[in-house]
Amino acid sequence: MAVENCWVIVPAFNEGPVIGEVIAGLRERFAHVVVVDDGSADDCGAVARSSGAILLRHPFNLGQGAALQTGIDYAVGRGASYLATFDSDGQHRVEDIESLLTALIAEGADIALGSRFLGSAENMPASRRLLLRAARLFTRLTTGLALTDVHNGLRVMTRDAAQRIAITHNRMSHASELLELIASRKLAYIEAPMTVTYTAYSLAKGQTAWHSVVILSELLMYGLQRKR
Amino acid sequence: MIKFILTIGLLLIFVYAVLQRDRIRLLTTVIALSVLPGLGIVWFPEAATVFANAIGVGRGADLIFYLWILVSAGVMMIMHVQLKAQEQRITLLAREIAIGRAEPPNDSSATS
Repeated sequence: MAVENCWVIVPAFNEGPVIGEVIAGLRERFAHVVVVDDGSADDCGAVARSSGAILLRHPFNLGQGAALQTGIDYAVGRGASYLATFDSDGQHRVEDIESLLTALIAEGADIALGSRFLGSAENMPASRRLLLRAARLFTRLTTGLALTDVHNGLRVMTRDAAQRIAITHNRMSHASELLELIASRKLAYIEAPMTVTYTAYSLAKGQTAWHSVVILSELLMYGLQRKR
Repeated sequence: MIKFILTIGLLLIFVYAVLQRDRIRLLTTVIALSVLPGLGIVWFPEAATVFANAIGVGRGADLIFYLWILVSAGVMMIMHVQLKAQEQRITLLAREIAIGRAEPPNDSSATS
């Protein structure tokens, strides 16, 4: 069954307080959970490992994009048939991976992207909703992809899709880069509903309006670099 | 006196840029192209004013200041791009280390 060879990749940075519960929940359904500890200063890596995750440690902090790619490279190298990316802060639900995986296989797609706007976003602040709408418009203009949710960390992809994409934006703009790669590689994508639960913990660590400025400047810089 | 100090300084920069040409070719070219007119202006300051007037700038000193801003911005941009390229190489190295030292789960229920 597909679930058995679906590897879940969880990039994590200083998530010690919540990572144990997140990993334990994943391990109830998935045999292969890979946590990429992105240079955490807390006991995040050790907690993840004792909760049942395979642990990869970056020697220093590189960013979420770099952590995702490290996990993807590892899982592909170990023979994963399907790969899921999952947030470490407790916002995502394990059962949504399974529904994305089911939808991916049913539709014959290369990658399934989670959408909180097709599903539900519990306790989402109005400012976050506005910010995500702006990001959606930006993505439509830059990649041509018509998506309802463009900065969602829950995704499921086939092994083939994982091998055709390579995230080079180490930090926050990796989500936009991934969508650009989906467009340029002409991967067959679907969106599937999922639920994001905003907690006080996740909101304190999550993206703010300032982060969108950072993301835009990163995209600009990487654009300049690529044209060299 | 100042002309000799400036000349020695510019020549040292030029020699350094030439020595580094295999590593950072674009930067070497920019520096070399800046040093030669710089030497001309050090020894013939009035030439800067003549050239400034020709392109609509009042004083030679102002023209040098504007060019300095332009060159500095260009150099900063080049260095930023170089830094990003280096960051990419460091990332690949860190990734290899992380994957090479993968730690299996240490809970009793682990199957991976």
